[in-house]
Amino acid sequence: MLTRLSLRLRVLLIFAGLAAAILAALAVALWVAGAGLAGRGVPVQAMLDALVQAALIAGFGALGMVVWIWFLFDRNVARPIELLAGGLRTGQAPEIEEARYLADLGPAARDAAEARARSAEALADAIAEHAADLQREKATLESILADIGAGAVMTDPAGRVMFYNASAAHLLPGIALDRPIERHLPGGALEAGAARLAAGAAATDLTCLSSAGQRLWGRMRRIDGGTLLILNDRPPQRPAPRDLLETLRRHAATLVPMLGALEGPIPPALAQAIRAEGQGLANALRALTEAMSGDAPRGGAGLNELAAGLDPAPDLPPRLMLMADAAGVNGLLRHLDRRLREQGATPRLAAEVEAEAEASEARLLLLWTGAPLPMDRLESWLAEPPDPAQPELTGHEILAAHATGIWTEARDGQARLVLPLPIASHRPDRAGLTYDFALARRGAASSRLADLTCVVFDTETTGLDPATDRIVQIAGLRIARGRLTGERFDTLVNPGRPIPPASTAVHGITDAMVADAPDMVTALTAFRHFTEDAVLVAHNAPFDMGFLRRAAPETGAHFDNQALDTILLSAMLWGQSAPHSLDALTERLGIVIPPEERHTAMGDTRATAEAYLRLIAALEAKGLERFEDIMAEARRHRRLIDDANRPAGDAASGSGPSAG
Amino acid sequence: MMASILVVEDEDNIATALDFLLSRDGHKHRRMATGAGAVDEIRASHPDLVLLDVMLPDVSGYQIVQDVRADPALNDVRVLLMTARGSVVERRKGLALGADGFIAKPFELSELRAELARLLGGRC
Repeated sequence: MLTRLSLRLRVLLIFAGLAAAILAALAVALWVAGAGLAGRGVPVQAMLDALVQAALIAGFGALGMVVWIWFLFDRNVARPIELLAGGLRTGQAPEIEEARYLADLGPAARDAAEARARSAEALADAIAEHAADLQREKATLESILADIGAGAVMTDPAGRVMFYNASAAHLLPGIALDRPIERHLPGGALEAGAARLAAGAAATDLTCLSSAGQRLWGRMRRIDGGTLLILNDRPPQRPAPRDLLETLRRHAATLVPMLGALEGPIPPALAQAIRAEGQGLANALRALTEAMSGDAPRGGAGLNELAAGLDPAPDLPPRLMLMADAAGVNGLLRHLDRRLREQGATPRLAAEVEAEAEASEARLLLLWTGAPLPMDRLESWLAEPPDPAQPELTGHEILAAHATGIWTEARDGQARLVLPLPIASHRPDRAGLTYDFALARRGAASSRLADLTCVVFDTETTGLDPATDRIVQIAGLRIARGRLTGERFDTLVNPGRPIPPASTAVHGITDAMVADAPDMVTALTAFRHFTEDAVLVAHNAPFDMGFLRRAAPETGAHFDNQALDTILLSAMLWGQSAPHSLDALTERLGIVIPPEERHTAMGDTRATAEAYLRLIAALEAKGLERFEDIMAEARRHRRLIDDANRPAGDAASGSGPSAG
Repeated sequence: MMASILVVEDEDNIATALDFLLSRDGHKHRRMATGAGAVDEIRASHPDLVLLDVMLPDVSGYQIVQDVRADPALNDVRVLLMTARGSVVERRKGLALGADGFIAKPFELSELRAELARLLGGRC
């Protein structure tokens, strides 16, 4: 039992015991002496003084000696030992001066501590270096994966998404981390694929219709118990257009024997049949031409890529994306540029986009001052391969692969070559990967707060009354199993009415900013997809939920999600009297919102999300672990969360600290 | 009304068919089998319309259109291009170079007639 006490206390107890034993021995000695003297007839009164005197001298002397020795022992042995032990435990090199009576123990402990510190430092360096290597490898892999044209999705053994790239997000709209993949791809096809893999195949083909109705082709592979899907929206090899070839064959087969009758007079019925078959042949040929020309590139190339190595006009729109194979088109343009310069021209690259709002085509121009180029010379240049190392890839081939052509024009005293190319609708600029492989290790979803899939969101509005005001901006961040997934929703919304200056003063959103923004139906429908199956979290949730629910009859987007209010969670931790504004809450939790982001929907959303993640950790420590616990606790707080979860129509009008 | 038409076409079989169709409709026409000298011939005979194949063995039909349009004296000569490459961009290219019409082979008789009627106005 003594071993639980500190060394110094134990030493103190030992010395106290020693003092007690000495005092007891003294008492016994005095009693024996007293008894002996009394036996010789010495009167008690006469010996008492001498005995008391002897007892006091011996007792105080012995006690003083014991205390002094204890003090020396404590100061020079027990305390230094504790210091050395504490130093060794925390990794600090101990002061040897303190341990000068402990012989070599002090220097030895110091050497040991220093040696340990050195190896810890070396280990930390090695770990940091390894981490930097991993970070570099991760960045490399991210860039590699981001540019493969196919969609890549990885799921955990339970079929929940833990990785997807930008192409997958394009093929499977609404895909998000921690959502079941079966919401996007038919379960039957996935099960059949899984069965083929279980039968021993390393990877297997997958052909299915996505839930968005798109036909997809791909490969499926088991990785670490989960599944990797590589998806394309066109087949790996174009199937021969069998039906068209069959039609051609049929017309030709009918027509050829009929031609034998041409030598004599032709009966009208036969002439009619020949005409019909000939027309059928022509139609089938046209259809075949169209079918075969569907191979134009679908990837986007930036105008800056296409203009590389050329002399660009100053007004070239740099962010314009065209449907083109950058290598082929840039190579062809450089080849033509070179040939033109050999003729003495100094061409510049320009681009013309029609002024319509949704122009679908841009015309790339090589412009120069001088005579227009004869078409025959252009045709001969197009017959040459821009890259001599690929002799079969002529200018004509490159143009045919893009289903386009190039011609010469003269306009405004300038000669030019014109190359029309379709405008690419979109191209993700960012690496475009979303993943969290740790999802698989964090077990199945449950009603634990830390396991919920949430969307933290914030709205900016034209005013404070959900009954009459409208949303002008909405932002959201997804959280899966206690971590931000990196998936975000952020859009301005055209409220269809002027924004009062008082509201603009709060959030900085003007009428001009929302003029081209999506309307409420479009924005809330998209937000509905983003928040499907998630718990909605907001600061002063009744306010934001009120706006979402009020809009439901107009937009058809019903938000029947469960909701959590960070004001209420804050009140559960700090009591109702503490301030619960977003500023007060983030300050208490040590979260910094850059001032320029405060009162933007995304800035406030990010702050609320970080506050929420810290709040749930604190609530868990308080024993409020599950959604049900929060609901039960909320009843005690009589405020808000019930309101936030109340169906549309009677939501409280928001008057909280978030001014919309 | 009868129009004068110059057919520039290297494929004999198509030329024969065109000869038959144009004669039947009463047009005055001549045929050249190569592109070389076609522009000189157009200057000399000044036809109402040139029915011009794009893919000629020597000079491209596009070059002939370009040359015809470069000569202001030939402003009133209509040029109707014919090609077996029927893509949309070929049509745009031909029209950008100054052709007045474009038909893709194989064409139907009614299609050719409609184009001729459109380009020749009252003359057929």
